[in-house]
Amino acid sequence: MALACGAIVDALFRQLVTVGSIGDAMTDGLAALAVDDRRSDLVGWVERLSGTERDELGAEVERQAEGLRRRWPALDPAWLPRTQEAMRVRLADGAFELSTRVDLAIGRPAGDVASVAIVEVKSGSHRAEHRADLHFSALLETLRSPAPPFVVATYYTRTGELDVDPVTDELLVGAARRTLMGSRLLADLARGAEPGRTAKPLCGRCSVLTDDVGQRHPGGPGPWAHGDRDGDGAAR
Amino acid sequence: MTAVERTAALTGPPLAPVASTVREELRDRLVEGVGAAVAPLPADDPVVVTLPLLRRARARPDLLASAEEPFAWRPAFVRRSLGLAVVDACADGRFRSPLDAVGPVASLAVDRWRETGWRTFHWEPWMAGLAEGARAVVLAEAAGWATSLWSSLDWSSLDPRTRIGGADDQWVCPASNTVRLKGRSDVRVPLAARGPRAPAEGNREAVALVSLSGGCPSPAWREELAYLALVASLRSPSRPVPARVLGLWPDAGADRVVEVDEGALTAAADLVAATVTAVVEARHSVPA
Repeated sequence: MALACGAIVDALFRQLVTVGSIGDAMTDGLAALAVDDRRSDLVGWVERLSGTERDELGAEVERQAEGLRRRWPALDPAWLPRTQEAMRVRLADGAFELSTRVDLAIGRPAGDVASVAIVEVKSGSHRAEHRADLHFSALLETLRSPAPPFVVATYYTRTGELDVDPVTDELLVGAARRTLMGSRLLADLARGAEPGRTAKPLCGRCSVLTDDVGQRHPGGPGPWAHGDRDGDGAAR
Repeated sequence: MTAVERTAALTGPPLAPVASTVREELRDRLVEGVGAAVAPLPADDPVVVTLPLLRRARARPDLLASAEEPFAWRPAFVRRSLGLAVVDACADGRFRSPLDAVGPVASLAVDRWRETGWRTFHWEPWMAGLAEGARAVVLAEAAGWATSLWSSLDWSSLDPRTRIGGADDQWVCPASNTVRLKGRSDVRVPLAARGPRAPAEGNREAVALVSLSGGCPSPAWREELAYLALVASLRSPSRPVPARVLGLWPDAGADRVVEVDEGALTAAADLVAATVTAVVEARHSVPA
């Protein structure tokens, strides 16, 4: 349910940036997902929801859409806003490809001046991992462009909070270290290593994890807590 | 590289033009090589060579034999044609930026189709039937595509005769009607004749081509870009061979330039022959 909410809110954000308005939130959001190659399966899932569940989803989507309408400013087209921008960087003669897709990029890439801002939209609650994920996007923009972005930010549609993170050398070095560590783990897995299980709050409803760490996570953190698609950024 | 630097590299003086004898030799070589490769194919089993096919043959040869999915409009199929119209509108000075232009350009096309039945882009009826949320996805995709191209070049310094979009270059192999080469360039920039090294054939100027692609440059990017010049030169023997091709891969922030000479064209022709051979072998490997 939370993933569906996140996908619909992402689509509505894209619509707001592109055409400047959102009509009926569920109708617009589902219409957007229906023509999006990456999301069309989700529409079938939503259509199979019971009436109560669908009403619940619709209410949350409308609540967040109303927040977007009221709080998100119109962007000057001269800033060249682009939504769902793909970023790819090949390393090690193509053995590794780092890729991500950001919800919004603003600003024209310039030669030696940091002029791009990156925004991720989250329909769920604030999590520390969101910053780390954005740092990965900052790293990719730095690797593919003449200059790093000057800022990355997460916009929380539930609350209207904008978590702004200026891009520094330290931030990029940290992102590079995390990427290197993740890449090594992926390479180990590709060579046949057994995947390790690590306790994370994200796995709040995972019964296997509960057994492993000896903790119970009754009910997890709530149905709307993690309403964002995870895994868009990945080293492949 | 900045947009200004990239544009300067694109529009610099061309190398010496490729001699017409070279073009004829390449044509004969393709007719012979490709014609032999497709000889086993029935006449109703055409091979259409495109840049995506050349790339797929290298990256995913296992997909060469796959039957193509039935065509259905998707935002990704509208992205380029609407995006090019948007860039054209911006280059004309009608709009300040792609996001300003994309809505009005799409609406104008749909309105014209409604009034006259004329389809400039073919997607007008599909677009006209979309709900607002779906239409926004199409506009967003096109705006993003157009912004990538728009911000990659310094449009104010390009020749006013620069052509944005336009029909694909096509060449049908005369030895066999089952092979067709299609080249899709996004921008064609006339290169002003400068100095003694630019005696354009038939008093025509050479052009530079621009091609925008998703993903990252492949190891064969030189041959792939030269392919566009090869098809253009085969299609129009009376025009000079395009002098260079600029490839843009915005996802990767990458650009590459190929200066078109005999070596580049020969390598592209070899890639075409290898790809056609691979396609024919893949089709033969599928049980009837």
